[in-house]
Amino acid sequence: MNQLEIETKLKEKFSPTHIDLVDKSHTHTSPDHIETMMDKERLYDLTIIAEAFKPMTLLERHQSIYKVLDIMNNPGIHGIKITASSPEEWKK
Amino acid sequence: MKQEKITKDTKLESGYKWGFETNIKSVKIPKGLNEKTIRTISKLKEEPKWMLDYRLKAYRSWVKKKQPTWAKLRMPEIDFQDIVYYAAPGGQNKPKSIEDLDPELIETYKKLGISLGEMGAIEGVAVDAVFDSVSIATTARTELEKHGVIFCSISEAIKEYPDMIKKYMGKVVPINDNFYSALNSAVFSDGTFVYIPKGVRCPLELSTYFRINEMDTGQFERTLIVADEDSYVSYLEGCTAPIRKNNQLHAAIVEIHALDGAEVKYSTVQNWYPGDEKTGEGGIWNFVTKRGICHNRSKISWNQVETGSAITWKYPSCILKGDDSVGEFYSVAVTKGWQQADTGTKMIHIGKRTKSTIVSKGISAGNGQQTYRGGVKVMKGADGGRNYTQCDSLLIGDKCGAHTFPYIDVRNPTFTQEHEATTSNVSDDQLFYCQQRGLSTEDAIHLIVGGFCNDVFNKLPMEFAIEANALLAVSLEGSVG
Repeated sequence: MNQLEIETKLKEKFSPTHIDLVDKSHTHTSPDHIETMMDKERLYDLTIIAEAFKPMTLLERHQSIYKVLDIMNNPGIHGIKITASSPEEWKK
Repeated sequence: MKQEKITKDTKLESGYKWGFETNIKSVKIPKGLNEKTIRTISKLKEEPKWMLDYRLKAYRSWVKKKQPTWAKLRMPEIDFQDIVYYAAPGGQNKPKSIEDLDPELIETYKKLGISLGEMGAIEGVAVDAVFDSVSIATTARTELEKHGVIFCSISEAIKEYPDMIKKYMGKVVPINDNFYSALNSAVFSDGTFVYIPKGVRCPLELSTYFRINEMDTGQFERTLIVADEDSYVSYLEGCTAPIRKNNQLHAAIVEIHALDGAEVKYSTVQNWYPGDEKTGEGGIWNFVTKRGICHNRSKISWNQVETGSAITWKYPSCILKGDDSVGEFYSVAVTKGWQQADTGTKMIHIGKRTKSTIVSKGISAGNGQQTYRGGVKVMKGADGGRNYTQCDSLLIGDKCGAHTFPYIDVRNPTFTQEHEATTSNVSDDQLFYCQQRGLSTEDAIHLIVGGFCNDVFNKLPMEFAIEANALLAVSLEGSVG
């Protein structure tokens, strides 16, 4: 799964008001290696704001994102840092 | 955002599945302890006079002793006159064969996962089953006899191999060693005797399964293992008891003699009823003296997983008398609910180049209190010896406790002594990390604790390691930190 596919999946599931998925792969490996990695083993920083998160606990938010992306079986993702908020919380 | 539900007090119902009772007629002697009780036990067991004298000597020593109070345990004084010291199912000492056993007993052991038939030999394990005060069956004896291995109840050994018993019993744990060993020496009712001849590698794992069934009885068993020169044996011990509101006493002695070049691996999965998790009512009080002596080039390894008992008082030890001898102690102890454990080991280095390793992992949850008490004593002659001690404590929740009392006494300048200790807890971050990937809270704890205990589980025989791992998962159900 590449960056675009990940964004699409998240948008379909959570209809976010804002989504920001930054590829941070360069922070965990060398530039040469990144070239050979293609869409595999990427490291992402995700900020996602959606009304759907409002009734959820922090753990439930993370679990739902993990579930949508099927991270354990997704060779495209090495790691993901998640910031998941409701619009109300984000304003604060 | 809703508050996280990972609280430090979360408690789920967790069951002690070995707490059933067997309805079987039992012959008991009246409560109380005096010389008459001892004479009665000895008579019921048809023992020779020298054994009665041994018991009486122990009783007279016990009467003069006081119950030790140095352990970090909170408990009422035990009323030793309110205990039944002998209870035999069906009133028999030991049936002649497994076919003569009461089907209820066979069923009981089946429920506990122990096969008393000859299947044991096929599965590679020989079992001595001790029910209340008597050994009711010993399996795979024919197979073992082919190799010259003696594996029988200690009562039989007293009659059939008196010279060996006289030579070895009470030599590692003397009669007057401590309060509970004196008590056991006076009233012990049964137990196991093992002798491995010179140069023999015991073809089967030997094991004893201890079961307390009768109410108000104590269990006082004795295990004596003699591994002759250059022999090897792996011995396993398991224990369970019914759920009862009153406390029951278990005071045992295990003695091991590892002669020159011999190796003994002694593994325990102790799963006595731990008492009610919420109220602390009931449970077994477990006071055990375990000690082995190593002669030249021999090795004794104590491996134990302690999850049961309301109170555990136990310090399996090695006297490293012979040159180049090795002592090991690998232990995982769990205290949850209102359990208390004061446990550890003693390594006494006497011979040259003696080595010992102590790895102790303590896990406390709920209101459990756990104490590691370890002693390393190095005598003047222990040139070039070495001890490595690692004791780690893991806390789950905020009401439990872990305490460490290492005693180190080194009297030889060439000795190398290393000691490491850590205390940690299962943090919310660790749990969150596991749970966000889909693990349940229980599985997450099991994973973290399993990793913590791995060093010790690796030392257990395969089947025991699996059992210990499963037992740990059950024990820690509902303990979230």
